[in-house]
Amino acid sequence: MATARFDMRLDEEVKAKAEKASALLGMKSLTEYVVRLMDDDATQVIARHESMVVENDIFDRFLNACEDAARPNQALVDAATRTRELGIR
Amino acid sequence: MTWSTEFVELDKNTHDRNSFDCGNGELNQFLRTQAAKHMAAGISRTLLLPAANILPNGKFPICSFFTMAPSSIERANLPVKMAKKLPHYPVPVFLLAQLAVHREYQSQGLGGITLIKALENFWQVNEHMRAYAVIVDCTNDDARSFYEKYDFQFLCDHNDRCRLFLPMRTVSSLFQD
Repeated sequence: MATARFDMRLDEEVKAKAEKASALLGMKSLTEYVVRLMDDDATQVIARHESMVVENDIFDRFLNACEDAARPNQALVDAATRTRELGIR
Repeated sequence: MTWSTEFVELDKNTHDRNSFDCGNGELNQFLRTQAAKHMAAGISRTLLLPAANILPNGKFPICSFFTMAPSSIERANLPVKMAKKLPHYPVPVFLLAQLAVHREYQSQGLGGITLIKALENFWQVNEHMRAYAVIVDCTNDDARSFYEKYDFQFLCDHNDRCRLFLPMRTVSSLFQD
């Protein structure tokens, strides 16, 4: 696996605390601890951003509504007409 | 000041993000500090309508903008007896992550125009990568009534926000006919 460098400054107290925590977790170094934290957290942040989980009944109603979609209403049609008439690309 | 006539991708060297004020701090902040980074990281894409006039700093004011991103919706539990009938999970959707109009250009129908351009962009993407609906999260009642006027329907509440959707089939028939 290719590696990249990432330098960081941090509070001395935070560093001491993190070293203790990484030792307690049996990590070989503070670096290993930080890398694992970043990897776990980034995975969660990205997953939260990319996918939404909804209750079963909400999901089923949503799919049905998408299948039986209505025609665009008058407000949408009017806005589309106005956009076209103004020549906005 | 007047609008130009073409929505273009945000370019921080061309467009003046600092003068943009839609009256909502969170949206202003997103445009100023996050939109370009999100675009570079491939998280979302921000398009905007520049003003026709150029500022003394050599940049164009931003009249309105919108941000689009891919997303997906999952059912909390997979229904065993329906698993064969229903599509695979999760299903793809488009996220209209942000949409805002500069204060100076509000009450002229630019919100509706910006929404139409956003939907048109989703419709074009949908030709290549199908999605079920456009999803939008509303931070307040004004935003909610704006989207409901255009027939967005209630999906669910999510972190104090109200999540609405408009089926892609509705969007397609708006531009196909």
